[in-house]
Amino acid sequence: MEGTSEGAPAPESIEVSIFGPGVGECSVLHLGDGKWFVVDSCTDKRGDPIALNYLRKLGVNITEDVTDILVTHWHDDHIAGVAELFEAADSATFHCPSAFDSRNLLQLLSLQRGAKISGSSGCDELANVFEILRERKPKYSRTAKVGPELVKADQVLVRKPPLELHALSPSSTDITNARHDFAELLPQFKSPKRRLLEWYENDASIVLLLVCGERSVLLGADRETTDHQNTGWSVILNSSVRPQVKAGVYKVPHHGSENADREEIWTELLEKDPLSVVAPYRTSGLPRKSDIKRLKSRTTQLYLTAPVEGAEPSHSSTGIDEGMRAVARQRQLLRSGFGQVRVRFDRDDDDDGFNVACFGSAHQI
Amino acid sequence: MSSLDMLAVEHSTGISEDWEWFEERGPKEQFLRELKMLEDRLANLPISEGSAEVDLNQLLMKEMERLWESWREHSLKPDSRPETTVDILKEWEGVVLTVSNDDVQARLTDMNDPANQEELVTFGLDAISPQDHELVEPGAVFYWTVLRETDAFENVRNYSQIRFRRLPAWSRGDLERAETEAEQLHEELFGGRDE
Amino acid sequence: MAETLKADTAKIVVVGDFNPAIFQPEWFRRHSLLRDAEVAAATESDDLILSRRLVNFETDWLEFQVTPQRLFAKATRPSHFRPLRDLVAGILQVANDTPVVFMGLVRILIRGLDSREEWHRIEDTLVPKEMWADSLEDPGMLSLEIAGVPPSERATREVVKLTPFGDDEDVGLSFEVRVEYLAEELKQAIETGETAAGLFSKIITDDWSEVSSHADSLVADILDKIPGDEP
Repeated sequence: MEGTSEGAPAPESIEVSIFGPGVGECSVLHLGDGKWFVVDSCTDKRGDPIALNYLRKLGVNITEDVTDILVTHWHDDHIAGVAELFEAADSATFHCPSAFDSRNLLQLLSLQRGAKISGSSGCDELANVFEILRERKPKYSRTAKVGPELVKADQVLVRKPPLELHALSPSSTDITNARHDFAELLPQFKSPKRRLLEWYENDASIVLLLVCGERSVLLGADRETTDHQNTGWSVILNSSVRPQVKAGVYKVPHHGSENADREEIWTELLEKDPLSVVAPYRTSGLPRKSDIKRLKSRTTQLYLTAPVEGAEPSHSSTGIDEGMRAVARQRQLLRSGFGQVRVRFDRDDDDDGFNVACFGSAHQI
Repeated sequence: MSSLDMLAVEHSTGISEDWEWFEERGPKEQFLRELKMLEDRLANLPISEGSAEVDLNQLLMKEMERLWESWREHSLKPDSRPETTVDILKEWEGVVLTVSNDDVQARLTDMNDPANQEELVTFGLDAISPQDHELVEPGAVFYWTVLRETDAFENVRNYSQIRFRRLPAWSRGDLERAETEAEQLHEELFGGRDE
Repeated sequence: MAETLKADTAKIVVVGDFNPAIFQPEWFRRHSLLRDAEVAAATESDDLILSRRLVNFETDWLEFQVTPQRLFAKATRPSHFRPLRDLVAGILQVANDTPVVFMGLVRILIRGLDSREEWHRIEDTLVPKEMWADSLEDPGMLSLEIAGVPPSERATREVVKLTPFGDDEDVGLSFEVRVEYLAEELKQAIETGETAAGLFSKIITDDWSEVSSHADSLVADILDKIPGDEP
């Protein structure tokens, strides 16, 4: 697997690896002692889940040592390949936002899957994950819990002293809003069949805070800002329950977009000059030049997992390019130039700083 | 065994000739003209329910069979084709992501080799047939085919065609089935509890 | 071998209990299954037949016909094979309650050959003349039909029919590759609340690409195995 690091971390080494192929992102966390927690999923240019390939390359026993998989929200770019990953990670617990128990969401999944509108989508991934959960239900028990772990703000997902993984969102208002959104997305009788796209609000996504002694990592998912105190970044900033720590590593939310950024995040939740990683989202052209300029004004340690613009495609038959050029004004590969930003630090040594390394197309700006 | 079952067996065993009935086996126009005359004749016959209806169908099929027999003697050679040949170079399936002003942004998947990388393209609305303009919405799916045309003088021309997928609208059945499935899944995963 | 592709068509045939009168061009417009211009072309076409027992029409890429027992649609251009797939899948979705018993997904590839010698080589390989020479004077293969396990697990079988054609100027081979589905054998799935027509609709969408590319590789494979010219 090109573009990723080699060599598994030592048992006491905590790792946060952020992968981004140009569309989609995935964070792979080593929580110590050979146990792994995967946040979101994306695929490489061959369509294989990046986390799965990476962990296999490190020699991780996927069946036993991937203990948790979490999807921050269900957009295609955060969930691609997650069913294959979950299938392989036989003993992993599956976490998702609390609103995922919505009947309307399940209806949406069933409709999208049944209609066979186009290829595989986030809906299929989630439907397949639910199918795997159903199949894993113990045969002998009618009452055994089989559903995913539903995550909401202020939950502690992992407690392995000195390490804790906290969910800072979604808030109860986010959950109510998300349920409402799912209902709104349900098609009406006689409305045209369309593939469901990810252009709706991301308020319900799960923001994670990894705390390990004196050091913390903030994974911002696709969390955006809103005008309401009980949603978006406001509810996290206003929370008195969240651990009152400042993170030195930041997975910048929503591909660095302006509507996911607030001054207070940098002053209240982050250390000064934090190591910040952006995974681009080419479909929306994120981050824009203005986003990079703004983020660079906030930190000197800004990293991109891949170039913002994909390479121009070129096919073996010139006729293909010629035929397409006559029509297309712009073409780019969606997943070219994939990279990994890896941060490691010693769990047991608070004086050990963050050791950052870039692989593949990942680079510091 | 119902007549339909029998038909299925018949079709699964010796169907081939029957299928070719409507194939290029002779001057088609003439065949269709005769068929039309046959239809006109049958249209003047009294139509009733039940067995009479079936008999009439059988009569029609028999007559069609006779027509078919008369074409059997024709050569097996297919219709002569124009000298121009068209080869498909590439087939993409696209999903419209955004439509703004006259620009359409879409994600393309290679249908000939899905392992190939997806592409992100922007093209003008004018590249789409006006017949499909009403379908151009985010989430709509289309086929983009790149073709090579070679004429009798071996002149080659590469061009592409975009055609939007036409899917029937959501039906009550679709919505009801999804509701039932969702309820079952909810029961299994979440114990059917209130949200 | 220097065979050239002379024609490539796709057909979908569904056997069942149809009411042909429903399937008039206007019905396709109403359900947005064809472009308006195609519906207009079908309506104005010389081939239009609208009756209680037969509906027949054509557009620039489509031949469509329904009788009480059978629905037949054919795309005459490879660039329209997927639209054909969508069309028939769409018809079966809308006419979800139509009792259907059988479906065939068909590709017909017609290859032109360089010479009559090539044609004979193919005949001799597939149906050796020595088998017949003692009992039949000047034997020649009219057609060959062979069945096997289909590429899709839901299908019942795959049938390949190979027919040589030719005169002094023009020789070639027609390959009909047909994958057959029987509703009876899919009953288990039908019991989940899906009608047979609904199930066929899904199968068309799911299986078409595989069936179609299988036909391409099958034809290429058979032609590859025909011995070439003697050195």
